[in-house]
Amino acid sequence: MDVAIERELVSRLRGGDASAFDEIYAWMRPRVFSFLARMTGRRDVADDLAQEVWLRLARTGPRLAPDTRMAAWLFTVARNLYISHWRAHRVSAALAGDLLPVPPTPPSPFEAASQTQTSARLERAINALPEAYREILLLCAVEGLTPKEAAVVLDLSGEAARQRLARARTMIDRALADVTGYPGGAP
Amino acid sequence: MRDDDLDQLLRSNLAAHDVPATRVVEVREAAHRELRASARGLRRGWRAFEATASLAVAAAQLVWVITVLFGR
Repeated sequence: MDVAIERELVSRLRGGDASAFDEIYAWMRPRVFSFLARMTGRRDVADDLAQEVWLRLARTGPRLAPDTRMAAWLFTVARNLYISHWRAHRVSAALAGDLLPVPPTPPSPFEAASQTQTSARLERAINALPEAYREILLLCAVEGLTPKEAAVVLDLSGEAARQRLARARTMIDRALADVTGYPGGAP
Repeated sequence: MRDDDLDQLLRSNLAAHDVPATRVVEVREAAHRELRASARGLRRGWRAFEATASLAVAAAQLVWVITVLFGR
């Protein structure tokens, strides 16, 4: 989205304009939800976390800085919520200890819902990436954030973000090559 | 694979997912309520600040007048 239009939306949101919220919601809703869904691997959890992202935007809207970049702000909140959820989930799993049997890992709903073999393969390859690489790849390669914007979201230096992105691209390229048998991973 | 090609491959093959339409309406309505409450709270806070500032100015003026009249 054009920076001037984004500033105007933020300005209206700061004034409590509900239609500005609606425009941001329509523009960013699938992107935030897809990011969370691919990070959590679960539609229901992604739905809950995404709802909280939007309620936080509504609560914070009137106090946003005039130069707030919406995509970076929303992905930062989404990622922080995901981390909190993951920590809570890890603690509860640790507390449950040996009482619960480890279930086999089913294909994520996004793998199952993938229309083509290529997209299913890509979903699997992304799902198999370590979290730190998955998130930067989703933010930059899929959602179109620049490495500088992703660095803000991930609380990294610009250089660290660029290096991590390069490693993530190498890993996904290699994973696709392993699956397809083609050097370079062309599907 | 080049970076641009890889990004293009990912963008064209990974579909954006979305929440159900009923959920969209629910979230939007809840967010509107939160936004109205937040904007109202901020306006109320600003009015309280203005009122406090006006009182402080009036008190300062009063002190000045008293000092001028009875200060010597």
